[in-house]
Amino acid sequence: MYTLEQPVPPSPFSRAASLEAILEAARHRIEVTDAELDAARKRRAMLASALLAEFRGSEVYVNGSIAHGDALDPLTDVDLGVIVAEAVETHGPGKRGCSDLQERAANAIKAALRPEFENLRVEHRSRKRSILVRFGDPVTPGQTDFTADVIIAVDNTDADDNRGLWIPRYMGWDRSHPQEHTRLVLHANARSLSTYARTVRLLKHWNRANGKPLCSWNIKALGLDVLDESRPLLSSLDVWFTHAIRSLRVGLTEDPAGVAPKPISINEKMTRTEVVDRLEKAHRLLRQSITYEDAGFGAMAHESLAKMFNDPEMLPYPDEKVVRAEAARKFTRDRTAAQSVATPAAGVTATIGVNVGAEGRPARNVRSWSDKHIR
Amino acid sequence: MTPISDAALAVARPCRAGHRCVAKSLPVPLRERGTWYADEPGFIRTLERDLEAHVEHRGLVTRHIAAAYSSGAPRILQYAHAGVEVPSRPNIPVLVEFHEFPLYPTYGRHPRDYPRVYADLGADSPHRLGGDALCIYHPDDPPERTWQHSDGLALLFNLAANHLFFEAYWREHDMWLNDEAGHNLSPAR
Repeated sequence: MYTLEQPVPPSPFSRAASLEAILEAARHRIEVTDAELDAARKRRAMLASALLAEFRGSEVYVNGSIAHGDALDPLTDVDLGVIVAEAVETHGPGKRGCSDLQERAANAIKAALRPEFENLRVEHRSRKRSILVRFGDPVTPGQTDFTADVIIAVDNTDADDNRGLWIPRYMGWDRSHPQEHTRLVLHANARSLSTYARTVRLLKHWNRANGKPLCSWNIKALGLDVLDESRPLLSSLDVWFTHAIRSLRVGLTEDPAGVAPKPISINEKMTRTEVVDRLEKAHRLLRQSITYEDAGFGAMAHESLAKMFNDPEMLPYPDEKVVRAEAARKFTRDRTAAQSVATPAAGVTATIGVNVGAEGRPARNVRSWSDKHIR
Repeated sequence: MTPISDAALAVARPCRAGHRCVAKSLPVPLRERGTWYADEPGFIRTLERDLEAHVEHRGLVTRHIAAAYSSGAPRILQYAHAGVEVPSRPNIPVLVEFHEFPLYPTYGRHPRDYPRVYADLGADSPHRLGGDALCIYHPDDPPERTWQHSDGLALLFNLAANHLFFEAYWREHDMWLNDEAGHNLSPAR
């Protein structure tokens, strides 16, 4: 029987079983179903066939969350590209832009897919990089639609550095290496026994529920540096946040393939300082949850984790009465343990202040009162 | 810091029709430019010095100078926290007000060391001041058991968070977890 003065003793197995189990359950809530993945892959294959029929001898590559194994529920889009063989001499930097190729691709997609998707729409004019295919038919029930981002790429044949591809940037071209990105991600997944993909999925969801300070690719790029072994999810998240904060304090994240000339952009509405601040706030709550669980306060640990993810549907909050009871027990324990300092002038015994909840913050032992009886 | 939005003030600040009526009936001292304690060099810097160092407060506090009435009336320095962390509850917005000429009793304390702290308006609590401000500390207690402006706002916001938890626990268990002071103070002091 545990009283206010006797906290629940920590179990050597409780950390791994409790918060880890909560994270696992949360991860399953945001996983995409096999049916959704199959439907998305089928549509991707249809797009690939249409592009290969139009651009004979070309090569199609896949990238994005479905190819990388970290797709989130709801599933709303798929990514692929085609390296147009016939354009290698005629299109690229200093040569022609991509608009005629995009026009051909758009027409080929419409002709091939409209029989099955009668509400299909394809947009390519005035877009920065990709052709946007709107299927007019969601893969996940309840969503408004499912889309595809199709990149029309040209092989890079530069004699000095032929790594990667040329992909559109409005009327011009940027260097990129999406195939290497996919290879790096799949390698990380294999090395880490899928810890990489599972952690990325949780981080993408956190990102989505907390103002999207980073793009998904930035999350993955940072993960490539540190998520290289099989670990419990809690530990993986801690490792990622530690690295991401340290890295972004210094500067933006460089392309892991070493090809793109510019680093990965953060949310354009935020400064790098603001992005780091968001990460630090989340990391503090994560560390707090670990500390609470280690000390035997499982409900408080659960609450901290729920506050961090900020999505009750994905990670529900614990019973508030249980949290309140634990917090009271912790406060009483901490206050009892604090040193006593005598203050003869005031005639009261003051103790070092403690906070309800997390330690290490400014605190003071005050006395509450009220003046309602006076006024 | 950015100005507080009107919407944020409306959520955190009490709005009692009686309060306005009482205030209008009292003589309002003319404001003398440059004599307000909030204008003293370093006062605001002292208050805010440790907010950025504490992640739970960083970027969540906005400062605003408000007047209780039309221009020329006594000023109020306001700090609005978007949400302090209280175990078992969603984060709760807190508003701290430093009044130039307080209309509330300060019990001999300087107004800069006895601001009004508002949060969770209307909640049932045995420790609230008139106007529904939180009664976080006894004004007669020694410095190590009260808050002074020199302690900075991070401590005050933490004390407010603790107080809000004690209130929630009291509402459930009819028991105040922290120390309580007796009711033996006169406003005439």
